[in-house]
Amino acid sequence: MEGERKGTTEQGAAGLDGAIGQDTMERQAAADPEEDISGKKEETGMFESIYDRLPDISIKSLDRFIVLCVVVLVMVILVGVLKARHLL
Amino acid sequence: MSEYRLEMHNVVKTFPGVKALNGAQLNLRPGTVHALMGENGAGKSTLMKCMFGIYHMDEGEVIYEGEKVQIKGPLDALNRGIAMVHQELQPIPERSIGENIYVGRYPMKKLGPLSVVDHSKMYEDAARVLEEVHLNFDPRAKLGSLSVSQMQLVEIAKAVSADCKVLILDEPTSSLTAAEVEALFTIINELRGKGVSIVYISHKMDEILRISDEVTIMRDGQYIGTWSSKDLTTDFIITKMVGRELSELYPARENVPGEIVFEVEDFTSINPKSFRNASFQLRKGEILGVAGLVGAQRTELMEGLFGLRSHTAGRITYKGKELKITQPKDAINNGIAMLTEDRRATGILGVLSIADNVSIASLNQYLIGGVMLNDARIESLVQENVAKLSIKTPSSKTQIQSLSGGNQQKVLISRWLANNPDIFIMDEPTRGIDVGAKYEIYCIIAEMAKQGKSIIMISSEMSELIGMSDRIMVMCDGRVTGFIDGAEANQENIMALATQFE
Amino acid sequence: MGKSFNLKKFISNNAIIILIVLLGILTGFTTKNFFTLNNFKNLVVNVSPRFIIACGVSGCLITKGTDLSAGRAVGLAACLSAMLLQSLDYSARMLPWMPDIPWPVALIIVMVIMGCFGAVNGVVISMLKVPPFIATLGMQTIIYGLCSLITNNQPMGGYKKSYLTVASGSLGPIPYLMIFAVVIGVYFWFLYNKTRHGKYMYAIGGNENAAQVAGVNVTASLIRIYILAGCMYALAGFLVGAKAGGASTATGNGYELEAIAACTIGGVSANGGVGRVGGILIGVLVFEILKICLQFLGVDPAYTYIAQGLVIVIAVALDLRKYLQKK
Repeated sequence: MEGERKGTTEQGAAGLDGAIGQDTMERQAAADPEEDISGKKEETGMFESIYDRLPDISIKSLDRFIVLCVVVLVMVILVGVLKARHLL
Repeated sequence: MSEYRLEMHNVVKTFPGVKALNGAQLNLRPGTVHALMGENGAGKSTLMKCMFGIYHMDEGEVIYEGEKVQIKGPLDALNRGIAMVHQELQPIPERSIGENIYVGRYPMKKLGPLSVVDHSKMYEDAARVLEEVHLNFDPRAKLGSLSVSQMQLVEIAKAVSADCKVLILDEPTSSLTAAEVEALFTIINELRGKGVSIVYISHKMDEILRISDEVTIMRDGQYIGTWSSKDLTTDFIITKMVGRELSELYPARENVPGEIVFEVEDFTSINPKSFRNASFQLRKGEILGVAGLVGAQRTELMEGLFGLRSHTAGRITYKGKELKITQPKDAINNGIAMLTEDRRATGILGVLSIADNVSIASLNQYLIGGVMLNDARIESLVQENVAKLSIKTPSSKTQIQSLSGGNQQKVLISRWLANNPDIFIMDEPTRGIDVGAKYEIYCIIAEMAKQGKSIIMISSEMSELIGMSDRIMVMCDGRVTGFIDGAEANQENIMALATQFE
Repeated sequence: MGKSFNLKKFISNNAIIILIVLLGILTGFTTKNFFTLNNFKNLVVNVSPRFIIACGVSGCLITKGTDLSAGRAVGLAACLSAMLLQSLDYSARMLPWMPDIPWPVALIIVMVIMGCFGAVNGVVISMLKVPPFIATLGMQTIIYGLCSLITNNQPMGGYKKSYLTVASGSLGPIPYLMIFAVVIGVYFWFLYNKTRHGKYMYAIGGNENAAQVAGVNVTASLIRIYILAGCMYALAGFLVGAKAGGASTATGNGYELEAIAACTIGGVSANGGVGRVGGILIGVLVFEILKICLQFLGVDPAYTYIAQGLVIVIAVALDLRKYLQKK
């Protein structure tokens, strides 16, 4: 992908600016130098976090996992209590 | 049977904080080239993405060949005969041209119980497709071996190969040479002859007036109207796209540039490929536009002056005093402010409130006993700015990320104004902002200049530069190539300096 | 997006809290002495040091970092406090030459020492740009090693009376431990809501790059946050030692996991930029109530351990879910 990826509008419609005769302004310059930036610049700004390093997980599968954990939790407590009452 | 092959009615699509589409519509006849025009942010790409099922419409319907349809995605659209060439290419450079053309729909053959890709058929078909669009590439060659413009042509071939009834071209000539544009127009004419409906999204007036039959104009997500292209002129189109008369695009400016207050000499980046030997002067109450192509290092230069990037040489003189700036705090303490290019990445503190965003750079001014924050005074500061800059927000506690782009930008401007800077660097201040808010921001800039502040405005919008600058500094490939007086500036002389490569 | 009360959303946002409340009610009705003042005091005394630790970690979490050294730091602090405050006539005194010093002095000394460790964390994270996970993980090991070294792996006891009273005494009906917790809670509330440091912290957590452009001294803020965290671990360790009447290299083991999870349950997201002191308190309460309930129900501690682990996992998963939804 040549050229810099400029900031996007809310609709995600990126790219060429302006209305009138912008043709030549958009022509990508030859080399896109890798910058020496004092702080790393990431596109996502707001949302960068450790959660970004994870692979894409769908909310549905995450929900299933959470429900599973809750069920196990309840069961563990139940078993613990029943064992304590010598019922198990 | 309707005269239209594809219709989109009353489409509404909302994203958090902004109504991207508000009653948009589109009606395509067979065998026509229908241009879709509008400023950045008008909703053109969003409308297409809604048609394709990439976005889910909040309201509205799509009627294809007389029937109401719900298109589930690009592949579904392709199967129905609707193809799209995107503005943002998504090529797979390591794979062959043929594979790229048929990605997602490879021709298959049976090998015993298995279904495998039929490579020979794929390359045969690919060769045919490339021939149809008069391209001389070897379908087995790697896509990455082509230039960007050639890749764009392959994208077009891909869409054409799908034997579609509706073809959408989103800024198809952005990377093409003049000769390649001609080739594209030949293809388009052939397709039109075959009865294909072509949607041509572009803002290049001359191309549109040449190739299209009808033009639909959008503005701020709304449908403005459809006209037959032979009845149109450039001025008429611009007026409709922008919503105000050409003469009213930019506010009258009453600022009078005074003496030189800021001087930069021989500013050179630590990165040899970035800005070097940049020198310029800035007057009090002046608006200095900064023009240049993508890659001219304008942003980098300003970031260097602000302390976000390192420099190895150069002097900055402010009111006669030399400044040492190694981090933003230094610049800010010396009365310099910077509105960055990408407000989402380096501007707004998304999860924080508007009040927090406005006050964050000037908290030292609102202390009780030197330690405790005076919430009441901060609140009044925020309210003052909301009124002065017409910021539309339900309350000062609202998260800034739920505001529209224009309002976010105004909040950021308030943040800087709270420090009363003398020099205000603005990098693409109106990018991604609707037309109404743009004008409001121009007024704010004009007012600041009138009050004696010096503004440096980086912009890629030619008309904005010409309309708002007292003087324009042009950069090319990291060097300052020249200055043009505001009154004499025009597209030609700006471009001449912007393309002065060594 | 309706503004009406969405039951599903409420449950998913507060699932764990609801579960624990139910467990609490259940326990109360099936056992004796649950809803008593004594039990409440017991709860308060357990919650207080945990709350203090969680407050310390919260700053790290809000700025998108973490502090895995918290547990071991509490342990080292407890051991240091022990060494400084053993009774003069205790035969196995660790530092025989140590004079008798008042416990506030000892506390300050320990806070300064742990504050220095915190400063190291802060410098490594903000200046050397080492990811907090790795930096504090390393610190965790170093602190444990140091603790082993200086205590010679000997558990310590025989504390001064005045030190022990810090944990066992009360001002009227209010345990001293609770007073410490309340003071810290109020301090953190003030710090987070009414000072520049607090605003800068949230700004860094919200968007570090934007904060820097806005002139926030990110490096200084981060170092302050980790130093403050270190001081909190010191105070907590001091109190934990007093409460237990002893300290060893095992003290505080694993406390950071619970502290981080408590913060997460309480709304301090790993995504940074958000978090309130009230939420931290709720998070800590969830854990302690869970422990106490299971204790009352006579459940084998092993099951409690597993249950706690599950709560931690669920808390993080819910936080991740909130983040994914926003994207």
